[in-house]
Amino acid sequence: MMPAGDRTKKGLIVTGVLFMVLFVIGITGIGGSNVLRYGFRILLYITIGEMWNLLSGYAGLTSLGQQAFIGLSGYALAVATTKYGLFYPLGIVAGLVISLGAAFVLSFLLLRIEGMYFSITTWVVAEALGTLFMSLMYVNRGAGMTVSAEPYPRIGTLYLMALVLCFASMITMILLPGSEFGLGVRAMRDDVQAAESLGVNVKRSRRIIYLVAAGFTALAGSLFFLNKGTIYPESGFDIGWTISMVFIVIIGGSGTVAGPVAGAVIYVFLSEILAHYPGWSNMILGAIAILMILFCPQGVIPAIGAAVRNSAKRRRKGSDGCRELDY
Amino acid sequence: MSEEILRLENIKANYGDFPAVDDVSICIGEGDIVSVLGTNGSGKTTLMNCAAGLIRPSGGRIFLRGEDITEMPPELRVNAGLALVPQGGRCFARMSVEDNLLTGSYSRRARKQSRDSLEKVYSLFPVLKEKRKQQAGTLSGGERQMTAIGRAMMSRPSVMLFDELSLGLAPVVVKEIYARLTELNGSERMTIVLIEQDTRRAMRMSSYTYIMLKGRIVLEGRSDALKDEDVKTAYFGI
Repeated sequence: MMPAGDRTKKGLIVTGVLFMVLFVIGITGIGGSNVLRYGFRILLYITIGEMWNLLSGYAGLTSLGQQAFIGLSGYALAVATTKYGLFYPLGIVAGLVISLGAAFVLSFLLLRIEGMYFSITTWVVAEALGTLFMSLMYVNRGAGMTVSAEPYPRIGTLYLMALVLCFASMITMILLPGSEFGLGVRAMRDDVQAAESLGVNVKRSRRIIYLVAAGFTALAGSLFFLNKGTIYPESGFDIGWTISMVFIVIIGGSGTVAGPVAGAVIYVFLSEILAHYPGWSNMILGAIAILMILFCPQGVIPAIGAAVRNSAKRRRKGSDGCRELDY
Repeated sequence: MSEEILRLENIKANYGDFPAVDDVSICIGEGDIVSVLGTNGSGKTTLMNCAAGLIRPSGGRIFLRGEDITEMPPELRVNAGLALVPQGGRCFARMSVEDNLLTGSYSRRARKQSRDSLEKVYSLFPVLKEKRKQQAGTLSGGERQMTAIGRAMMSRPSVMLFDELSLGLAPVVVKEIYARLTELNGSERMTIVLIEQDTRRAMRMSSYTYIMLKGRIVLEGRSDALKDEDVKTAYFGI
């Protein structure tokens, strides 16, 4: 495609190389299981971060209810493997199908709603699902369920599955903005009515984006609970999922592909460190997010980009990179 | 008069119980420049949004080249050759000028010619070529209006609807943009509908004028035949 063509190509090459490196790490297990364990979490958080970025950063659909799909797919996996004794990949497929079905049905309700009301409604829907599962005997109510897989996948396998998922989501994000479809989506984010008057089918575009995000998020949810082994209504449908997505995108930089990657790495390590200070961790994460919004609102990746450009131009304002892009 | 291209027939549109447009009919000939004038709240914008398909009229019919397009969704109207330049330009602030223009050729028919259309826009507004990588949100008001016009041109329309083209722009910029529109009308035989408050300028440029007040057409006629007195009376409703 036109002017974005070079950037798209560059992005794909960098992503491809990165994938190979991470793939080799996964296959050989260099660095031991701890590396794989961290890597697994980071890859999943990148995936859900990218997808929230797709919704909010590219399409202007700021959802606070993506945990609905994580919970649904987690439960689908647990029900399929425990209740019906199915092989776990079938459970993952079931989770994907159920989440896409739910997203399709919900889209008729949710995509009629604009802006803040959309955000609130997505949250309410996710909460309602959580409450429903809390009272549903079929899924053991609040007692939760276990995921049973025979043989249980090793961390190396989980890591490789997360790797493929994560890079599929990243490639989607690299290809989308330069495409004609992506152009329409970005236009829609900036001005719905103007986009419509140019021939962008807003309803259809929004539905596609919403379904894509739901699908990837559901797959990430399945893998997460496959690793965890147990699921409860309050862990599956936790608003904390969305909070982490928002944090990852804000820290890394919304509307960029590399942003959520940086955001997820920072998030996973921070939450690891902060796990030693229970009670304080959310406060500290919140404070970091606020500081970022105040002083570097476009996120780490765009700020680094601006700083690099500045120093290249030999201007002495390199340290002030954050403000350069402020519009 | 030239052959009819766009006709709005007995259009009615309400916001709740409030009738914004009440039984309005206008007819536009191919290659003509027509102005629709009126004060704030007279229903001009609503009428144009009906024409572009952004608002569904509660009554009346719309015809493009004799074909009834009343039920046609906006994206298909763009395909059929109707383009709206909305009030205030409404550029996509976080996208570059060039990406803004490219969204204009989003419709299937225009997509194939987008390179060619882009050159055409750049030759009409050279300043846009200079600033093609710049974010539209950082442009001046006039440049933003030019971007919006260029974006509408990208869909290869045969009729362009301009909603409040001169609103909030410096007179010298307005003059410049109007000159470009005259050029477009002359070279491409573009049909142009001007929704304006700048009565004098719009009438000087157009061949036919409609004046709206409180959702109705209160005066119409050839722009050079309408008397100043009558226009004033109709415009202000006194």
